[in-house]
Amino acid sequence: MPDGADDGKKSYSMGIDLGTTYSCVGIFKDGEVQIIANDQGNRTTPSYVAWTDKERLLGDAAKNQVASNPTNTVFDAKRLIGRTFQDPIVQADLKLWPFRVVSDGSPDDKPLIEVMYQDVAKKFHPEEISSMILTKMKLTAEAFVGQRVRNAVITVPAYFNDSQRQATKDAGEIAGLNVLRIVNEPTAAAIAYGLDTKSKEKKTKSGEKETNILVFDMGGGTFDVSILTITDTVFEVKATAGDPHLGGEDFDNRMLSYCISEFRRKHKSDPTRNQRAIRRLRTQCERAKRQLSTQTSVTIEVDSLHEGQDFNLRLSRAKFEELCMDYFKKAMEPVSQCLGDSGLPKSQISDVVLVGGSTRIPKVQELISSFFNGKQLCKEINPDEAVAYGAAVQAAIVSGTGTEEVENMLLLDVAPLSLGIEMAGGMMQKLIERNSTIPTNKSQDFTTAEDYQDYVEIKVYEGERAMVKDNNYLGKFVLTGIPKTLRGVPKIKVTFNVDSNGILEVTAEDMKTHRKGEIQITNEKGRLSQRDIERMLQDAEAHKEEDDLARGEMMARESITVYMRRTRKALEDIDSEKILKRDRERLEKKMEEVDLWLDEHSNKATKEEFEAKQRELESAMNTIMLKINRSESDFWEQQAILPENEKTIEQGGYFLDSGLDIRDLIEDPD
Amino acid sequence: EAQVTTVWDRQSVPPSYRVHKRYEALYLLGLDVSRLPSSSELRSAYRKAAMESHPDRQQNHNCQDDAKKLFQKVKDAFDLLNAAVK
Repeated sequence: MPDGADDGKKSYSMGIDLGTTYSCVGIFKDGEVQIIANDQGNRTTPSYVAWTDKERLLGDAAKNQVASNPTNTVFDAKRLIGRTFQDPIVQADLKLWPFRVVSDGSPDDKPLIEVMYQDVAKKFHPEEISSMILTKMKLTAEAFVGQRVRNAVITVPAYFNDSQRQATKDAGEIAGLNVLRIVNEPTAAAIAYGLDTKSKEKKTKSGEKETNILVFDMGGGTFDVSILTITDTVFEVKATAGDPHLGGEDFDNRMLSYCISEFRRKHKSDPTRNQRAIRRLRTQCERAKRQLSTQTSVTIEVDSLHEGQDFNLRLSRAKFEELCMDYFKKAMEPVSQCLGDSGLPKSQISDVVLVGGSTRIPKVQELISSFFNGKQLCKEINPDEAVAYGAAVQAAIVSGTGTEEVENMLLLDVAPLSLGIEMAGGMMQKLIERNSTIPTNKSQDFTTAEDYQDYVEIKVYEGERAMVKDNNYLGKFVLTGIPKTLRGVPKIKVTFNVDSNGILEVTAEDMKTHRKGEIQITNEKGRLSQRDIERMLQDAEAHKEEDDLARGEMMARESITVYMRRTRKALEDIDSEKILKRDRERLEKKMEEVDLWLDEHSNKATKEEFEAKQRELESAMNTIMLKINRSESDFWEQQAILPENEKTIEQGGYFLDSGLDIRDLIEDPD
Repeated sequence: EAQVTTVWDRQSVPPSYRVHKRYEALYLLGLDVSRLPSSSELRSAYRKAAMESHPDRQQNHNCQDDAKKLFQKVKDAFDLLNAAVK
């Protein structure tokens, strides 16, 4: 049991909201949830990873350089995770991404993201990209608490299917995390809402009052609706529905296509193939979309977008709404479905809680409000942080590291999709109905169809349709070694077990021999094998070494630049009469030379080369210093004050964004 | 009738209640077996039993498998009675 609160050092468990566009991390500390700002001071971190000639960049650093490095900057891994390359959704997204996505060529048809790193094409599974973002979030948490944090609760959209959940868990493992739980995003948000309301009511009401709420969670890439019944301590999910591929990015894309067609119309040239132009335009569209939540019109401007032509467009909120109206309307379907599944009438929903950045859009709010007959919506909780907040609470509950209040809470979540097997005629036989409370298990007995048959093959599907061909195929299970006898005699018990993460495990048992073994999962669609995960874990470790190397170079580069700046200042400050003209000229010439060298080599020089160049400079400087007869150390002490707002390497912060593993700096609690 | 405290104490149902699944369910949830509970009585009893049996609860961290099985029994009992109450 993860206890250990009294042995001096407390171990922490974090909650990570791994979003399509942004991620957020929270930790339960000192009796409350802290949402942690990253090294840039931002409480959410872009879910971006980039490769430059020299190094790997994560988060803000990756997103900030996207316009200059579009093909090697990867984002949207969450839209790929747990899907196949041929998935129509992947094929559609592919056309909009500046980075390359290819199939792994295996029968599983897994998608791979291809980037160029140090002139070599490198391929990554979406799980690996997600693991890098998780690593970044982990480092943020570790910097905050000052010790290692391994335990994590990671959130996924409630409507994520089995493969997507499993893949997310794998990503956590590749990042070296101990994944305590995969939690549904709207459920996590409901915890944030529940704790917020409870603290306001000051616990005057007794625990038996039931409140039904609907969580409307629309983020950058996914959309969920969940209905929960909340009492003082129990959060019970009644039903969930959604669209795992609907969110803010779809609206950005609509605006982008509109802008492109406007540009084409005005300038008779097509910027579609100009990755840099598209990227710059997309950034402006995203910004304009945000502004349109508070303003009624905006101007989208990009200087010299394509072939020297500027882009300039006035866009009204009404036009934006017109462009995205079908998406907004589509989002209302899961709301009705979820209500229907919950068995609750609209009037029984006492609060509609908005979560996710896209719920800031006035039209979205208007549509939900009118669906609930003009109901006031709950905007009390922070839509960007609520999910990480709830995840941190659940991490504290599951690991037993919270306060008494938190540890008295219980979350009852559901499986979003029905699970079943193929029956004769291609019919779907459901074993677990959607919206079943998890963990759950259901069994069914099977027998053989032919005399002397010694194996059975069971195909597993998820989905709501009557025919298996319309549902999502998960895998095939073969039970062999059944004693040969007449058909209908053997009895094989197949058990579906959905764990607390919403992940399915299937076991089969021959009731006569009680043999459980020999179940083979011949096609775990979309899933990485244990061997894949281990290899990726090793790759991630290797990458850490590369990052450390890059860090050494950056340190050396930083060091020489600082030295140059100090020398320049010293030359200004030193009484000019004390330096011979010849010495001064020699030093200035040397500095010019180093300047040029830095311009040309600063992106490819090694640590040793930087250091050598610095030594050359130092010796030139030292000659002067000796002549003016002043002890070197005195001199440098005077020069040691850094300009304001500038952090040295020792003060940290600087390198975190380039993938430095700060674990090296942190004392290990073990 | 013996006073039972938690759902853990009630998990083995006395033979006299095994005549009908509904009796078993009522007994497991600690409800009066002589009548059908109201919807709110049932939900309240379910929540209490869930709090006692759920594997996520700290007191059950050392007996995950048993807790999971018991919680599933509680959930099944609730589903059975809930269908009758409706």
